Amino acid sequence: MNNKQFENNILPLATKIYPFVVRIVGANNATDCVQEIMIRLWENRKKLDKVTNIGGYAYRVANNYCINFIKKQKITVPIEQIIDRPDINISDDKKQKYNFIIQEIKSLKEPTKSIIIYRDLDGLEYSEIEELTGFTQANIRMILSRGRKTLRTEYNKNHNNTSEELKYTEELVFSF
Amino acid sequence: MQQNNQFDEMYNQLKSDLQVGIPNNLEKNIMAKIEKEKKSKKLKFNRFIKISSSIAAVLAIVFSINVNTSKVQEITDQDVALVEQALSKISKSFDVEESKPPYTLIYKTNDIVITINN
Repeated sequence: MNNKQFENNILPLATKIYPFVVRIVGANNATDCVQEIMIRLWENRKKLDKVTNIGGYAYRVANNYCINFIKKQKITVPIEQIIDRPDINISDDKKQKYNFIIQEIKSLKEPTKSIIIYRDLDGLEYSEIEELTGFTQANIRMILSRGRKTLRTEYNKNHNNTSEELKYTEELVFSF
Repeated sequence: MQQNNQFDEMYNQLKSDLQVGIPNNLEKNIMAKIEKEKKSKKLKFNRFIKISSSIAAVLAIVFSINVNTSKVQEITDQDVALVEQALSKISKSFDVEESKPPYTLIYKTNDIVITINN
């Protein structure tokens, strides 16, 4: 792969992997990390011709880089930071609901948790998740479906109670 | 059913609301950094590495690396081992994370100078 091919085919991946990197290393470190990841890919550009799933490969390089980065820097970035980012402008009510969902995602077991995060929060393609996790795309779809079902059930359970309470309150009001 | 729809709607909104904004000029800045990296690599490749004549001979014969010498001596196992060690260090020096430049390595007997071409 020459420089021009790198610029055309690999460089646009920087914007794709950016949200993934933000989630792992935090917004403050993300730009520097993405730059380093892209330089790493550039250094290995001659080998990239042999890579069949270039997007997946880029995510794998990014994942390894970010894990090493947080280990070296001794930092942990909680997943909640994706809601508490300064660039997000949402109502408190929505924030509360989103927080609930994020907490539920956090409590999912692996690999469901990672796959939900990769697909629904980081926006990875199925082929990229396949490269990253080693699961087949059919398995990924199944895990995702089950994971989302769990989230839906937990959300409805929680909000169902609220509806029941409201209904009860309304009944009380009407009974007076 | 209605609750499921409410959840799906809210979940889709979450995915959209929590999308991360991409900084301006991200790609441009990366290219600038890569260009800088290219220049620093070029400087490294232009450095000379000093090694013994016997090692130079091994490099020339076994690895087809251009060696500016007319002195070709008998090659010993020790020379081969040293070359292997040297090459591993050279290849390491091409790694981005390796901070030591190539010219700090190897064997200094001063009688031969070779250039490493990428």
